[in-house]
Amino acid sequence: MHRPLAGAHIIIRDSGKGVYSNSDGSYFLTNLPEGKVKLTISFVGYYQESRTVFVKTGHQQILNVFMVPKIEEAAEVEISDHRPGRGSQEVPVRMEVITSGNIFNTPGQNITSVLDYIPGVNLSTTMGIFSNNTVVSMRGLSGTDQGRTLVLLDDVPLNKADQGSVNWNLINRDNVDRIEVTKGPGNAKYGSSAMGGVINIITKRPTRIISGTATLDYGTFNTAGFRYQIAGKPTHLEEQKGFSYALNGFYRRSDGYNAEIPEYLEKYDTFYVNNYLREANLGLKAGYQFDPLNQVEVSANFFNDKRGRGVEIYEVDGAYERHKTWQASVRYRGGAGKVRWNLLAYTQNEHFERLNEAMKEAEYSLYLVKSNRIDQGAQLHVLIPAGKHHLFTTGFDYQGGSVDGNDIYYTSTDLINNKGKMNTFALFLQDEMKFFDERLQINPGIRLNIALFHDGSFNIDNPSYAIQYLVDYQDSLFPHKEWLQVDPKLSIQYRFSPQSRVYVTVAQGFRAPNLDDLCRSGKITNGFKVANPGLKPEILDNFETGFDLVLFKKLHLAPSIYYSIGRDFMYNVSTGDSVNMGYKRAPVFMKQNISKVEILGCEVEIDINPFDWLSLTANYTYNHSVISHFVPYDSTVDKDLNGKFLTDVPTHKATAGATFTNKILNVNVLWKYIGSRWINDENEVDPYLLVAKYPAYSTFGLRIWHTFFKHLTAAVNIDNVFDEIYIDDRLQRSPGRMITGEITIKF
Amino acid sequence: MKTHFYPLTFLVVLLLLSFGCKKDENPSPPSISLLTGTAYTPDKSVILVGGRIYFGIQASDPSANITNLVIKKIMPNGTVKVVLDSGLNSSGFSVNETFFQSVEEEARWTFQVMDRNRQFATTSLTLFKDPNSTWGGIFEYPNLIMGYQNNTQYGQFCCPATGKIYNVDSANLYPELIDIVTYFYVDDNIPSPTFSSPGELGGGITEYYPSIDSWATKHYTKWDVSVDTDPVPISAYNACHNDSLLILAYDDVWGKRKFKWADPGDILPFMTAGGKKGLIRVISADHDAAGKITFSMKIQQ
Repeated sequence: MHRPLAGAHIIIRDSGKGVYSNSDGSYFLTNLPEGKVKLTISFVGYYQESRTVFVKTGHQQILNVFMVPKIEEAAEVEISDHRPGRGSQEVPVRMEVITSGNIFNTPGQNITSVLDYIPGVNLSTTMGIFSNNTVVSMRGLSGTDQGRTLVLLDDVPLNKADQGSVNWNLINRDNVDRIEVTKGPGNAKYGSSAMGGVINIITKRPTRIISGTATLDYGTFNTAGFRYQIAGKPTHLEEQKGFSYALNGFYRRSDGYNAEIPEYLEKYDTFYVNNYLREANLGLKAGYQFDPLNQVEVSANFFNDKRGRGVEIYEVDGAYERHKTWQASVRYRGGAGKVRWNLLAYTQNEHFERLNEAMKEAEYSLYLVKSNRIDQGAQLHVLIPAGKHHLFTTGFDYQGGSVDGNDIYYTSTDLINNKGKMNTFALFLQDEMKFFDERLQINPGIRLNIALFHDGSFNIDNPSYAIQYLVDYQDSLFPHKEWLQVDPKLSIQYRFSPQSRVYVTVAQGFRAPNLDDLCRSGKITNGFKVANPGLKPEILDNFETGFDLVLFKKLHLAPSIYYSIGRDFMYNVSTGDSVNMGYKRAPVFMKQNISKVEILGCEVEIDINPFDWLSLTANYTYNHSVISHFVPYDSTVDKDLNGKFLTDVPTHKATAGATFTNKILNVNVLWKYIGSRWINDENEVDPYLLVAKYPAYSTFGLRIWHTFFKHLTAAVNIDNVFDEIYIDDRLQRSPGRMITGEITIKF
Repeated sequence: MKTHFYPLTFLVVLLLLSFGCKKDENPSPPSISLLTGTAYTPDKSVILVGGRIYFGIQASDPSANITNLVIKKIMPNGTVKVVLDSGLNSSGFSVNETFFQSVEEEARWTFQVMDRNRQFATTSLTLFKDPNSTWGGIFEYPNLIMGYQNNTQYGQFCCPATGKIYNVDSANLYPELIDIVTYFYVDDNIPSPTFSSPGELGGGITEYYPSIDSWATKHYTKWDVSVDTDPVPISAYNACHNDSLLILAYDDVWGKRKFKWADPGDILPFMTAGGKKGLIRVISADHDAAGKITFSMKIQQ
């Protein structure tokens, strides 16, 4: 039953140095100081272990460590090689694992900065830390929709049923142990939203009596922050039982910058101001471990932010967005005999506000978009080994999402209300079959999804003259809808060696419509959006193959090629109508099902570690994402989108980096190139930018750090070294170069 | 144990900050009243069609800023006509508004303010049409040519009462005569021949004609921009020889500070600062800041 783990990380705790285990699980540590030496042994998908050995000069010792798999990951996440940024080769899909070390070394202000350097991942966040609507998409799917990439925080979905969006700002980067990026819909464990892939952010867990970090930073735009993470397991550390706790939090504020482009401003546009930010977070986790297999854990998280939107006319803080988010979960990880299970229940309540204050053609407007979004769920995942060759994972998922929103106008009498609920239920079964000394792995899986839309409504109280056109879209109760979808999945892989393999995946992904698209009409960027309660779920068929190859023990090559067909693809399409806003005619959009979208893409990653002190990495991603069959909603007014490219997807993307480590100074240099992207669904020239595509751009990031006295690290972080400015469809520009100094204490 | 104490203190402080402040659950509503005096039109007045109606509106709010002012006419049959719907953000105001009697026999004028708490206050009065009203005469100018800001041949300033066109130097001498100004720019990437007036709200017009800044009188003409959704038929325009169409075509609530993207064939209702309603039919419009715009115009005498 027990098998050696290749690639486990054995760290000498006081020095931070370490080695990886070989393909037979063995490892060798030499030149250890005499006396008591503490070791930490870690491996993705397994609980971290700690051991103390007494070293005597000239003596050799054997230390065998039995590692306990984590139930929630054991089926899919057995990673033989988890060198920084390197993917898993034991899972028959393309997967990347980002460790806390990668996160620490990467120049960037947010957790999303790290994801931007992963092949196949597309990050849309022009305004960086000042952005409220960051989208991380994958595999050539539209870069404006987070709903096609499932994001999990300790297995709890962060995508909201209302819009599919994720509030990336609430994640404390110091509290992240690792991020597992699984590309494509190949895993039966994940359902709605996991079309492009899954990003699972796993937070740090207590491994010692007490440990933690605290970081102070200060930089450009008078940006100052503090973040910390403390975890402890006071009793029975070696026996793997007892109470444990973790606490983390952060606070950040910044004066921000003015994101408006001076060339587009008129003489009297004097009300554009800096996009400031203020945010705070507090997270708690407590657990009790009964034995190595059974543990209960509760966690709670609170996040509160306020981000300016760059306009201040009469309101004290001007236009802003605010999130107040409460998250809580309770989990029971258990096992008996060979069977393991993971029972999880969670809730995420977001109170969202966006105050819009504007002056257009000398007319003042003020309104508040307010939404209470509640996403709750429960899941039971069970792992059942059967015989010598089978490992079954089965389970049940329930997610219930609701929105209760209002557009509260102050400069007119309108009060727009929208409500809706979406429940999804899923059953899944996946078998992990291994043959020929585990070289051949076949993973068939099936997932049954049921989605229910109900209690949807849209109405307007006191409609003013300006929004009479919306009155026709009112409905006190949208028709109840339900959908059933069965998604088959099959992955096959053959491993030539622990680090070389070839794999093929055929899988189907499913996504239910967002509540916002089903039952909310109102203003959006550059126009109006009307609800479409007739929207159907979309389906993505994905075909993928790739291989991993290690050459000369120093070079790792990982290419993949994929072809996806999206059916009933949900896409924002102009209805051909427009609304007279007094100063302009604004186009009206509606989310519609497009018959067919095709995505052909490839990615390749190369890692080279020529010396202990130098590691090099580079990757390239190509995407050809087109609408291949489009039936217009109204052929008399709709534009033909056949053959048009999906918006916000760079055809070419490349990154490269080099990390130098030595006793004096550590340096990490990263470069990225983002190719041109289509701006609008018609692929036509944007009236403001006067181009059809956002221009390509490239940036450099630099991080320099040094550790003093083992516990204190000073770092300088430079994002966008050469101050490259790029813009988005809201005519807002990027912040440019940001320099941050930071001091971290680790204990 | 100190390590545990500090985070817990932080948590308690955060919770107190989050839940410690409560909003006033019963905020006071705003108040609104109409000014009285000989200058203002009193309740129950009888007014000739086209006659001037003058209101003084005063509002205040002790608990929240006033953010919306709506003036509407409610006819005896229940028909509602909004004539002003304006956004603001002020603790109080006193403002004068001018309207002109339309064709309805009787209308209850209601004045409503709303504050930041969406609390309302309303006052109203009733006005009657003078039964002796008749349709008024109009001036007709079949072919006027105005230049844009860089045109040196044709003037850019118009006195609609006389149909005379002035260049900048002449207009500077007679600012009280000028109600219409033309210029050209590109807006939303669309060439925009534009009709405006010296008193254009926001003052953007001085970008093209800086001398307007120093004018003692800057007339503000309102342009009805609902032409796209509610166009005036060309046949009706051609057949119009009194002010009936001019009065009915102009919709107060759509009266904006300028008319952009004027295209040949467009018929634009407008109202001058003096309350004269008119129609402009665009015949041709160049797409060049040195170009010109040709149009015919009908305006109340």
